[in-house]
Amino acid sequence: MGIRIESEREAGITYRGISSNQVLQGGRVWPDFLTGQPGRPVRVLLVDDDPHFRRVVAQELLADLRIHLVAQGDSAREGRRLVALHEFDVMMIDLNLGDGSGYEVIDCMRSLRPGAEAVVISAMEDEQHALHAFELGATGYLVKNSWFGNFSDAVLQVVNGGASITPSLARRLLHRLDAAQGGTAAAQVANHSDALSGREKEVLKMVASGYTSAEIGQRLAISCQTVNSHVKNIYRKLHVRTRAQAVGLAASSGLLQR
Amino acid sequence: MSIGNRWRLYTRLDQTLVLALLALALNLLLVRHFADASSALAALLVKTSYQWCLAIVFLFLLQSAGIERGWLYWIGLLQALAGTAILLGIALAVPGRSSLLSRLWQVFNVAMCLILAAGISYRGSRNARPHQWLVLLATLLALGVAANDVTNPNGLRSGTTFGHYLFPELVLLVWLVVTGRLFGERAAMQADHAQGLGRLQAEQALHSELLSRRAVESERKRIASDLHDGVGSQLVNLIATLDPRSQRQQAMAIALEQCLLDLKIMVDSIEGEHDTIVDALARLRYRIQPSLDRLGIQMTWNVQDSDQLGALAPDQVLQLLRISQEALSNVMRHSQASVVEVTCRYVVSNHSLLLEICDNGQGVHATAAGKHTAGKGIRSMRERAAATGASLDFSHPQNDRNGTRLLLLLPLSAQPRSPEVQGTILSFPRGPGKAA
Repeated sequence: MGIRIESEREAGITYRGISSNQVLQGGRVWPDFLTGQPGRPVRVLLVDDDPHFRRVVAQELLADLRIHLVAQGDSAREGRRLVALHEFDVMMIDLNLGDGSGYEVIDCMRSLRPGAEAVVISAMEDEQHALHAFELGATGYLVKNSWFGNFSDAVLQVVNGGASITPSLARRLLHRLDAAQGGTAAAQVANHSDALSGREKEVLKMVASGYTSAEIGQRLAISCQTVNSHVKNIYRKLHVRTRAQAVGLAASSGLLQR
Repeated sequence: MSIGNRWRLYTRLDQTLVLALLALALNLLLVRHFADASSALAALLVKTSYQWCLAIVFLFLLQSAGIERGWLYWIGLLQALAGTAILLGIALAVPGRSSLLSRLWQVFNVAMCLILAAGISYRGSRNARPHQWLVLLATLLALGVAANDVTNPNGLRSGTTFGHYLFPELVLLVWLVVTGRLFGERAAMQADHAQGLGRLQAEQALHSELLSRRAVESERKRIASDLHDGVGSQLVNLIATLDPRSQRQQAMAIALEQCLLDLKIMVDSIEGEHDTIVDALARLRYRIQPSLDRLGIQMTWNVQDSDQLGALAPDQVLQLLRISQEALSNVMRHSQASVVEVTCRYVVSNHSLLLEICDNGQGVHATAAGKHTAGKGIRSMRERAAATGASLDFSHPQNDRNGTRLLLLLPLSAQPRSPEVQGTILSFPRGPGKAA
């Protein structure tokens, strides 16, 4: 599952004057109001236990002036140490680290650096893992073997309010978040606060039907940025709901006793 | 058929009947043979054979009465074994003792026969079976005959009481009645049995078919993920080694990407076996959008989901997906178009699915170079459409003299077809040339 490379279009800039061939084969145009500029680059932390892959990604990130690679780590423990030590905007993290899983580091990051985003890298294209990563609060997902994955674009997209989503993932989210749930009063309150809004449901349905963010924006008469922030919100609700479910489960099984 | 196999064909009751009749016959033979002999050996043989006759006859009566395994069977066995032991003792002992042991033998056997008869009557009368009264009657007669034989010092020696000749026939009669042969119930019983067997076999067939289908599904998924992880990652590594600045290597890279793309689409369709047509098209777009972007082709997406579109069977979805894939691949390779539009929606007026793919390129028939492969592609598209019951039409878009318009109309059935049924009928590979 790669990230949609639509950073420019998402900014809402139209390219009517320029034929599409020029934009894609020539240098990309990067508007100056987006986050990640040569003067103020995006700070990135990279955690992956495969040294060859790390080299490849680091090379690409270092070559891009909009990105500043702050530090690299090769294990979960190292990752947690770096999260505590450095300030950064985006963390790229592999799910399968030698001494643990990337999920713990994401958890750690959410508590220590709430303003930062996480882009999860995985060797397998697996929706189950992706969903879990999003539940934990990640906003981007990259597959290692995907030719169409461009690492700097992934980072810049996530930091500019984008979140990766695919049609099948959207369908799964619809099932997950839309299903009415009964249960305890506490659970119902939690459901109410993070149930999908009508607009969000519409956006998800359109993504599941194959529309891009730009097209969704056009059809619903909202900007591309708004569409992306809806997606981000949906992930936030997923994260919150997962947390709430975990808390609810713990409470009901008597783990949280005063 | 060997004797052993033939033997196994009989039911247990039949087998016991044969044993009982054989035992009775043997006993009769021995008695006649040793009619006048007075040696201890003769007496031993005759009485032992009688002892085991008793055991087998009571076994037969137990089974006829429909009594399941229980302590009564053990009693019978005990009687036979202990009785034989006592008889051996009589034969080997000194004359003084032997009369005492004889007495013991008689008393023991009568007592055991009483117990058995009582047990059979009690348990048997609780079993509600037709003609059970005949079995109980036979049991009482057996008891009487046995008690008489055993206690009468001449009974066994001189050969026969009336009962000895009568009893085998009685046993046979009981067997005929219990197995329904006498009153013609056998045919009805056999018919019931056959019906039950048939039902059981049908259920088993369904169950094994379900198991095998599930096994096939999981095997396909395993193959898909192996392909993806193995071949897929090799392709990616190969592409990564090519130099983007060299023209030839770039062309190679593009071709390899196409392979990778096809692989991913194939893996998708294996993993998304139960997707609707909208899901499948969305997935397809997601896969080919980067290629479209790179070729500078703009895609207009006009897919409208609705509940009626869920009525398609998985096999139909797969065929439509392949048609779309082929059509879009033609657009990317041959048409040199700059815009392609995909429309998919439910048409209320004729209750059918509409799938339309338009582009503003050169048109399918125009390119000489692509004609050969395009012709074959179009033929396969028509075959796929026909297989699903849809109509496929190639023409020009309304506003454009050039360009291609593919129009597919598929009438929808009233109810969604069960995916199981469709899966079995239509998913078998139809031959190397047409495999998906």
